Amino acid sequence: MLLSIRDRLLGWVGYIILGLIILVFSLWGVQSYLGSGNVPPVAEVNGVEISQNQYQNALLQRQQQVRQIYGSSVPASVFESDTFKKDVLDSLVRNTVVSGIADKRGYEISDAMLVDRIQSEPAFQENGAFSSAKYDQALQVQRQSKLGFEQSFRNNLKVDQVGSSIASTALVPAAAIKSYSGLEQQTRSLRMITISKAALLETASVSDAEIQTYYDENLALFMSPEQVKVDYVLLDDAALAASVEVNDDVLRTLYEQEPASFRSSQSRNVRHILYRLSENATPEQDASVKKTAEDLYQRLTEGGDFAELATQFSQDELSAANGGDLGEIFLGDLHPNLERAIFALEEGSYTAPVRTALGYQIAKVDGILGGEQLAFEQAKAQVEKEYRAREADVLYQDASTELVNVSYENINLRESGLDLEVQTSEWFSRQGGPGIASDPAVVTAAFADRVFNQKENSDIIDLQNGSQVVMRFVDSKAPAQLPLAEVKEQIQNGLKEQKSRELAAAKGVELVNALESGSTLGALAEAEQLEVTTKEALSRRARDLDPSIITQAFRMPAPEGAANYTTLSLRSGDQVVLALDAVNQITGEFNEANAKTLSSSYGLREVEAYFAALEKNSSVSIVEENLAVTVGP
Amino acid sequence: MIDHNSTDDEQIAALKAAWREHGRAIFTGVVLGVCVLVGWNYWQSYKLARAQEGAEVFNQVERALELNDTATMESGVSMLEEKYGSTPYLALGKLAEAKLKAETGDYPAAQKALSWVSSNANDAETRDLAKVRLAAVYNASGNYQEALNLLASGISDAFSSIADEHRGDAYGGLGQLEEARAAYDQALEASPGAEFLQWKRDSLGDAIVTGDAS
Repeated sequence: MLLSIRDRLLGWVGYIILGLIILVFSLWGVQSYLGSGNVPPVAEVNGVEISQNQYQNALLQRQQQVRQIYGSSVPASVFESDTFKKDVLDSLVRNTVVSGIADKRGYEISDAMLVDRIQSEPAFQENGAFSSAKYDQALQVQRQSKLGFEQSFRNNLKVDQVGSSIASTALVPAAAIKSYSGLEQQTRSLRMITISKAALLETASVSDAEIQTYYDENLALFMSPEQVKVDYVLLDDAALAASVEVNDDVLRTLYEQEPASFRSSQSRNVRHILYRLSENATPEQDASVKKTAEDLYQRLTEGGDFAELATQFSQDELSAANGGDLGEIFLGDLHPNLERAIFALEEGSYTAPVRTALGYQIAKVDGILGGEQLAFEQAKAQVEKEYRAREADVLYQDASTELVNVSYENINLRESGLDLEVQTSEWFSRQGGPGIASDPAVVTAAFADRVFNQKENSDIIDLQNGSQVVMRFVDSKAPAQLPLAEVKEQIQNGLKEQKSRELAAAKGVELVNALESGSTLGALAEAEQLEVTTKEALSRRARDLDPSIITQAFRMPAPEGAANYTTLSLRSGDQVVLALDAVNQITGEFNEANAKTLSSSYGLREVEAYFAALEKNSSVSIVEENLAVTVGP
Repeated sequence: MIDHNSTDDEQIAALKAAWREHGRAIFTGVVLGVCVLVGWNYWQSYKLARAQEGAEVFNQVERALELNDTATMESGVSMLEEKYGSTPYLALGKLAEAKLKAETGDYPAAQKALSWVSSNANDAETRDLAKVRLAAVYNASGNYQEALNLLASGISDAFSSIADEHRGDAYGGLGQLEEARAAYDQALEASPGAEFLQWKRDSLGDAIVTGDAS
């Protein structure tokens, strides 16, 4: 039988089996080379997949950038928004397109360019010059090998080159630069009067019927916000410390463990010499004052008398009269820089010049006071404070663990048997409210799905003041129609505002009509008791006028003979009537700075257009359903 | 093929016979394969070296552009022409040359460089870019009709904001203010912050009424 198996195996059956085995072994694990494995990609760009991993990293990275610029107050909802996600995905797609193009078209970076760019990277420089020690150190911090870093740096440069080569070659013909300079330097002469909205506000009247109509037509605007009320448990350091029970025995035990650590507070008798310097002084001013202070320090080291020099030179007039004497100084009295220097000194010695908020200061220690060991009775308050802090710490740990369990097990707070007091909040809306609802993290959590809809306990929420909270839904109020009486005043004010704006605008139009049928601005201004403001040679870049007036003045056609008139409403509601008297045309000259400004502005637009064109000629498919992922904080 | 029912000796004999018959072909095949492999590697590293050299030359051209150094720039571009025509850097070098010439008012030279790129660059995007820039140079030298013709020659929509601006310049030059205003307005829609564009539009008057004006 074995022989017949052998025979058969060597026949065509054998070939098939062998083929299958070869196929299995050669394809085994191939999906790990192809990238994604079983996680579907979020997009495919010219055959290159963008994985969920890449997408999530990009989201996180952008989130950190935004936080770095705008601070941590940016609400999380921004990062959950579709616009934010779309923005991140778009730039990811664009990067992939451009990097594919850089490869395909054969963009490269020469070794010399690579070296040059690495050496000019500020992160690898010391005192303005490349330092190879700093380079090694920076790579070590990033846990990157030189080879790996240089390869990825080179690749980034290569991709940058696609855009930068377009920006750097963006051209503006000499004639266009001249015409830009001409337009830039053009000035216009105008007169104007301003009709004040505030004056008209008095005369604008609003009837009850108008208020009623407005209310009826805009019911949706007058809704009370959705509100919620929650039970909560607050874990608060200060409150815990206050709740610790204390008696003399435990305090005495603590004191006797290490009596030497309880000392009276230290202080110094100090004299000083001050050279004043404002905090936002320029580096040149700083250097000059510093030099003066150092010269004086030199005189001190050569044996000059401190008190005498202080009287003569110190710019702190009050103390200078007393030889610079400041009296007894405790920790926290002076600028931290100076204080650190003073408390490190021995009696009779003085500091080098120290930069503080006031300027440059030199201080001398005349005497060292305090620091003696305290008896129990004297130290009692200090001991008690330490004891409470220590006990509160233990309580805090325990309560925090308990709170985590309660949050996790989702027991109703009132039935949880916690030692901590369960409190109930006031009503609050998404805009926040009194008490704990003044903390935005509480508001966000209270209206989040888990608490508001699922009626579960919240996570432990860290408040801005350092305490922690767990909450549970109690009740909610749906948005409700506010009665007219409650919003009447608000509507009245709004309508008055609007009417006075309309009155001002109508007045403006009326005056322009009068001007165009022959009246003069001066005569009209007198009749209306308004003042005429004249601007000769107003430039585009002027700062002393509302920008919308400047824009309007430069949009008006040049007058032929008589002035041209127009009127515009300012954001404040005031109405301006403009008379354009003259346009002062300038023949522009070639100007290096303008050439740079213009070509960089065209460069930016051309790069944008170029990339958009590349994208149009690419195949981009986005898998919408894989975009819904959310990212942790 | 080899008969599987034969003894080992017979199989060896069969193998030897097969080797005598096909040995030369197999040997040639292997040698050819190795040659192709070595050649491919060589070709790849040659191409890489070429591209890196081209990049270096373009880098120097860019630097010369910053310093307004015409001589270095011209020698760089002619070097790109001689040796690096297959890299993207020849077209980029020509674009750099056009910038220097256009900004110093030598429009014929700028036109020559841009015309070359607009018909010879390796890819459509760079050709379109050169066309848009060429239109600006035509306008500067007063060839408004040529600018309009070029801008109507099927440039990708992606460039429309800049193309519309140059079209506005051309109509303005021809005295067709109505068309110029329309072209500028269209350009402003896509690039609302472009100052020069806005000024040119404003100086034609008859502005579209914005929120501020009434």
